[in-house]
Amino acid sequence: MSAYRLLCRFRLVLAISSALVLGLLAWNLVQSRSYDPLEATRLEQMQLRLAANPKDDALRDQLRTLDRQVRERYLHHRRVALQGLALLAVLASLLALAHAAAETLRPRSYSAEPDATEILAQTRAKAAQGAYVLATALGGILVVLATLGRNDPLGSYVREGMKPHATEAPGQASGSAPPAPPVGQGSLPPADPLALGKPPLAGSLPATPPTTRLEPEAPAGAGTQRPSSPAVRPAPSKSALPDLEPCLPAGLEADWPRFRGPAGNGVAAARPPLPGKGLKVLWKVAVPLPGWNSPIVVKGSVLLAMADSTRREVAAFDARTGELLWRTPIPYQGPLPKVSQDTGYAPSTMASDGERAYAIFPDGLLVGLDLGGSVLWTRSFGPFENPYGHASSLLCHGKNVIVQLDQGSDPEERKSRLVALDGATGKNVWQVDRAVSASWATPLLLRAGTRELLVAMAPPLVCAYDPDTGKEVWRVEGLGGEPAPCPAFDEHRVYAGNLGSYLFAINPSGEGDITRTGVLWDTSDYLPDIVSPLAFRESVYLLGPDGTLACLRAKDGSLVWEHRIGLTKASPTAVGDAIWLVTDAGRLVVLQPGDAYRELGAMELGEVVRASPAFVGDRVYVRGQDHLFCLGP
Amino acid sequence: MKRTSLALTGLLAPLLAMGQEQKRQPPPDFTSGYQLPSPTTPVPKEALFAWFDVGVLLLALVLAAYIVLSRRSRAWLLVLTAFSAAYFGFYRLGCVCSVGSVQNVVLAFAEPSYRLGLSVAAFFLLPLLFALFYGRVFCSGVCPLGAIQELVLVKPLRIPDWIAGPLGLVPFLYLGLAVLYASSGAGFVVCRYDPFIALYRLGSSPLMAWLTGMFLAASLFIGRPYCRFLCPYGALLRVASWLASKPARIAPAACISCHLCAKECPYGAILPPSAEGDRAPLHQLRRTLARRLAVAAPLVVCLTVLGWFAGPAMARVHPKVTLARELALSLDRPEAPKTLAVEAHRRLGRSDEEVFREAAAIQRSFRFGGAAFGAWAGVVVAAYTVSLALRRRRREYVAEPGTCFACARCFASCPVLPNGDRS
Repeated sequence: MSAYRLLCRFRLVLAISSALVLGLLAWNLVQSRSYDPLEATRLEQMQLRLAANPKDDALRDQLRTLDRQVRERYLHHRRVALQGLALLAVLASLLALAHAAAETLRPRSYSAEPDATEILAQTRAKAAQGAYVLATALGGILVVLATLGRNDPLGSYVREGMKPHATEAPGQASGSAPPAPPVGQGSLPPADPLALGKPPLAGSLPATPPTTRLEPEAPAGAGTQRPSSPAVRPAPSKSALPDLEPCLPAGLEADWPRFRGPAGNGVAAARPPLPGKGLKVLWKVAVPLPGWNSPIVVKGSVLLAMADSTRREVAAFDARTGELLWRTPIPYQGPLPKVSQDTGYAPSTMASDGERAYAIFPDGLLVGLDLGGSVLWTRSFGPFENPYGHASSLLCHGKNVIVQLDQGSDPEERKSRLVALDGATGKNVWQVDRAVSASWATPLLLRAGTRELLVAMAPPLVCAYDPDTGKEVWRVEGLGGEPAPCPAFDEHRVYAGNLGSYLFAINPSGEGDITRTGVLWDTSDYLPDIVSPLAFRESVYLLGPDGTLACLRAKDGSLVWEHRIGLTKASPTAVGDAIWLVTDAGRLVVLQPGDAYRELGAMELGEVVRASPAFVGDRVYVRGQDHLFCLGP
Repeated sequence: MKRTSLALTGLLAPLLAMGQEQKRQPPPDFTSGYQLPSPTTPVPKEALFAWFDVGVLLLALVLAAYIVLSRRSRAWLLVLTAFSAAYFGFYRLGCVCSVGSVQNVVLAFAEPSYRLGLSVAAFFLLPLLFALFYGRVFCSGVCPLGAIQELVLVKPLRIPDWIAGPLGLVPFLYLGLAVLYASSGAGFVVCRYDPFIALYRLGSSPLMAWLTGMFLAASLFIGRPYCRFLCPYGALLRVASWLASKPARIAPAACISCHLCAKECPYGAILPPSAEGDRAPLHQLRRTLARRLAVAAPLVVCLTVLGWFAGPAMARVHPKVTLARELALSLDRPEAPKTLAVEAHRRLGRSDEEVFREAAAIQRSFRFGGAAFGAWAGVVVAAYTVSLALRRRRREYVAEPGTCFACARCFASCPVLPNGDRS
């Protein structure tokens, strides 16, 4: 047998082998889809059940087993796919080489060129026929599509004047979620736990849709249950909701003594002119060291904390002229804290009670200074078990400093604390151990009726305390993710939530565990990762990590509008009749609150901004990456 | 051997890409102590980078035109091709590219609120502008999609012209589809099904990785299968190149009709001279022309009508129609698991009627769009068949500007020297 024929046979064997491997890989791909954890319907159902009944240890164990099995099977298929691909690559390479060699050895026969004109005529005729075949094939495809269109299940809905089928349960057509299975009912189906992507067996689960997130109201005291999303509870009448008011620090109502203003909810009493209508840069000074914390303004001074890996300082600038008044070094006393780049070494915003100012850094060092920059006392709470570095900001209640010190990954380890210190001495006034994991949020202080509440959020709780004693007043369970946005409140509700979890609208008038009774609605859409929500004029504004600003109705959480404004870390502030925002790119945007997105003005600062601005009088203080800006008329 | 190794690398790359492709998996359902890092969103690149890309594109186009028309050098063109694959492909990850920019331009016309970036517009216009003067120099060594196919072409098999010709109409049909879907807001199908993106980004869905592998495998033996038989931007370039004032010429002096260039061309773009006389009698040609003109009108009407009826099904690609269909299915079968889109719709609190109403409006608009697409397809096929019945006279072997990729292979095979002598 000639070498050419041998190569041809070898080539044929390789081609068949390659096709076989290709087919097996395709089969493996189809199989692996069944075990994709992202598509595992059974897993999702069990997660929902577990969320509804977190005390069910047997269910938890089954979920773990199923989860592990799914992952193992999925990874097994991936391993097979990789091995198959490697084999296919070898076979394809050999095939290419064998083909090249065979072509080289192929006996050639030369013949005279046929008449070019004749070839051209034949080719043209055939090409025209080919074009008609193409048109016919296209026509066939269009016929198939037209037939598919006639059998489309959507067709009946569209043709019947968009009316849903009669089989639908009342209430579904109006957009409300369908009724949900009673929680905690039904045992797990005894089917093969790996039989994924199939509907549950009849009788083992309620006949209602298994993936619905809505849960009915259960009688109080039936056990803790996380509210699901979207869940609009039967809203209490407005009269049943308490009137909420800010706890403004005495004498500092017109200043900006803490993160998000005197009330801590991003509502300012200032009245600066709008961009394009008189707002201009009054002064701009370089900030000596970096830091993402926001400026506070107290008694004519703008205070900042700033730090890098070698130095850290607290500085004060004259609010009128921008002149640097003083810089106080706060030396590092131990090993550098581990922080992410986004956190930096000075993420926490300072606070002041009007006599003193307080700053905390990621290594846990809390410093009390007088307003002249002299250090009065220090306390060290670190080091923290915190993956990004401690970033919660401070606030003052009377003469006390409130410090939220949440850390750890397991709430049951109870490593987290909420501490109130005497501002004059730095000594503990009260301290509460918290069964929560790490968070980066700042507490919120408000008055609900006759009582004051200190609201702090960390997985798995949104919890309110008495700010005078530290005694827990109420709690909502079900918070997850990594909370960095602060809680907010309006006239009647408290809002708390973050990305990877839920946003809860809470009626803060209850006591004890109000998970069932106090959550008015919750949502898992448009959740912020860093930016704190703004509750203003019966709307809640959420700014997501992709730069989308969403306006929700405060009464039920439904969407009013959304608009992409660009990546933003600074929290929005309600100033007068407008909402002020600064994007990461340094674009100051002023919006009109209402039913649609509408800009009232904008201004470019030309610098990266991540800190929330401070608003005092007719001035706006913005901390950029390198400069402190003062804007005003 | 060099080409073989390049080709093998090209074949293996998508497989490796598939191997490296890491599918995002959800976190486990129970606490293990592992702290998930917070997701971060990268800050958008400065506009300066986009203009830098435009500068690189312009420079590459100028170089390609210079190399093809003045230097007539295949070697330098290969260097430029490798650079384009490296820069526009692997470094810029295949985006922005002129091929996909068609859709941006269409959407900008169809949707006033969509803002077309100037750099995207430049990517759309510059290759067309160069094609108006010099033919498809963009395809020769600048387009990253063409570059990778050019580099892996080991053993070109000549596809018969009577097959390649009708298949060459597919890009026009694909262009029609891309325009329909982009203008309706259904999405950018050309980008979604870009067959080489898995290679340039070293990772994609399994389906796209397979598609990449298939196209690369085909490219080993078929010259530029994507460019010739699918690329919608290539259809525009083809039309622009027909008007080219200074396209590449095979022989630097008088052609001696040696046929060597036609044998060398892997794309079947070189047409023989007809100087010896097109022996088909004129009356026969006229009869053929009359027949095809007679067929043209019914063909266009037929495809238009079919497109009208197929429109609603074509609208299924639109995400709003997809949602409405899933919603309808979930209402018909409440026991079936709901899709993520349906769950999201429930959470948003919008009414089902609103979704169905929107879907109905889109389907209605797709009836017109489908009819327009059918008409376009009919016109394309009719124009092609009619063009085949026209007599053309060529005195020498010429590269048909519309299908010539200016790859410079034929230059080396031409024995004619610039002074008219033979090598």
